[in-house]
Amino acid sequence: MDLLKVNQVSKTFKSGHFFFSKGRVVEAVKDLSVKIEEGVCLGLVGESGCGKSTLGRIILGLEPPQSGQVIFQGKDFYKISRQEQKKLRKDLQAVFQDYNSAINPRYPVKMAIGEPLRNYFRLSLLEEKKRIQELLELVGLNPDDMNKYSFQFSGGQLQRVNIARALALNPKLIVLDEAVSSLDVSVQAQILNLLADLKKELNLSYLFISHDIEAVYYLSDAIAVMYLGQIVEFIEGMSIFDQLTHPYSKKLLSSVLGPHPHFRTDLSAEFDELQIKSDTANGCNYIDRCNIKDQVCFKVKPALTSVSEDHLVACHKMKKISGIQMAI
Amino acid sequence: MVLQGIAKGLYHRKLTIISLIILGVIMLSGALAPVLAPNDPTLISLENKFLSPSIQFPFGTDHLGRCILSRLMYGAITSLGSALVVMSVTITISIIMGTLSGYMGGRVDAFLMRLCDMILAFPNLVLTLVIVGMLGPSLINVIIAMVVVQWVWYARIIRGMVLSLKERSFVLSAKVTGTPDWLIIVRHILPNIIPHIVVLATLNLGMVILHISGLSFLGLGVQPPTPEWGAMLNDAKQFLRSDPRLIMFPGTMILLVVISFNLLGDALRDAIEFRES
Repeated sequence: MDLLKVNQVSKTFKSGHFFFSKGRVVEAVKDLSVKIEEGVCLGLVGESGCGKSTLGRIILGLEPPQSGQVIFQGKDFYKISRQEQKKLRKDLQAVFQDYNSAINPRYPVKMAIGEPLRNYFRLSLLEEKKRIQELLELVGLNPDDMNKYSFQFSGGQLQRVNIARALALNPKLIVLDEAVSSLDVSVQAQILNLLADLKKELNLSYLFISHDIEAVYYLSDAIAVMYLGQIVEFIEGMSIFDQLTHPYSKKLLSSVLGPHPHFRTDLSAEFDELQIKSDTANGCNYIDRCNIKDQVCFKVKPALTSVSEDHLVACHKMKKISGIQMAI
Repeated sequence: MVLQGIAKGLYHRKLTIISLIILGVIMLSGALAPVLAPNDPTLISLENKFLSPSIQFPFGTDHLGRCILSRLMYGAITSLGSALVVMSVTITISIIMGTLSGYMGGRVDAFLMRLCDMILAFPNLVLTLVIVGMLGPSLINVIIAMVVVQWVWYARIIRGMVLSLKERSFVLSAKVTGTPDWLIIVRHILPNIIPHIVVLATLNLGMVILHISGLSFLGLGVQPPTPEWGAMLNDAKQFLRSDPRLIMFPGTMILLVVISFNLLGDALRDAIEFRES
């Protein structure tokens, strides 16, 4: 059974709305559907502003969508009572990007990790302390650190504390919203390893939101590429990861810097920012930046269709692209 | 822990200690006025008017023969006390309103903020005068008027702070881990705004004292013969040339208290900012 099913959710934000001027409407997430099975890590990649964090917030129940459903463990999160929401929340936790502000600077770390415990269980002080120490050990920290304040930790350690808090309730799904993005590279690897170990050990599912396609590749079992609020490519089974075919996915891949200076890839990802054009209402979203566009692309919006087993792409030209790829 | 840090920060500043001592002495002498005051502050005896300092009247007497020192001591309660009442009521109301507005957002926010805009649209002093004028001159009405005018400023500031705190990761994390909204406000939001507001309130307390004294000076606040520093200034102004002593004493008291509160507020702010950096 699917642990989480997101059904055609949409979320728009209005800005600059003032009396008679219409203001700008930003469609952060558009008719998006995705699902996560138990024990699977779904990587969600896309550049800044493509709506991936909004999707994460919608899934976490922090941002009600305008339409669509978020079905977690068979229940529509935004349709049920607050008490039931609280019950569901227990299995749905998060780790945020900003590890520094994720822990209230006025309290020691044990208060932060103890917070979910106190919300759901009635533990004695001793039991709570034991559980907190257990969690700290689980994420590779010293159990005695529980009395320290957030400013006494390094970035990587703080992110471990955040992970410990997310694990406190034995959740089934953890949303990792850019959870490693603001750490430095060596620490990133440690945290990714920790997450991978925890996933195996505790049979967790992750929604791993990141702009870093390499990190996603390392941790994920499935990958969804998001562009302007929609998923343009979806691959289940990472054995075919290098068969990402959508022109946007390829662009993301080409933006990865190799470690060796002699094998420097040509950065075809020239500077161009996300822009929303009104006249693409009918055509493909990616049309402004696409280098293989065709007449069809202006007229018809491509649907997410399967090209092979476990592989969906939203592009009219996908067969041709894969053909080219075969040739090379 | 937090209090200890702040106390430590205060201790290292001589000026702060001095201002604390000044405020302490003034408040204490106000509170103990019935015991300590050498004379009855409202007793009029025209044969004793305009006396120079003596043993019986340490600061001399005013134009009605009342003991100035006794009046200053009794006046400390009215001046400082009413300022403290204004400040604490203002802060309480604005914390409730600001937090509600910032945290709930939407229509509650829009309604409260338009209300604030309405009050803010009038000059501070004019609105106070209008309200006191409608309710009639008395100390209670001055306090009410000042609270009505002042809470808006603090509510706006608090709303802004809540808005930025609301999006901080620790509040989001608390939400995700199932902490109910009221607990998030009590545990995460209020502890992060109250220290700042206390600083702001201390800094503005001097201004409130000046306002109350000013309104008394205009004859709108404390009514004679109740002793109050602003009212004393008002009484003394006609003798500015013939006997400047009368205006000097209450004026110096107001000056001392206002400066002390400002210094205290500065020190509190430094102590808190030092801890947060």
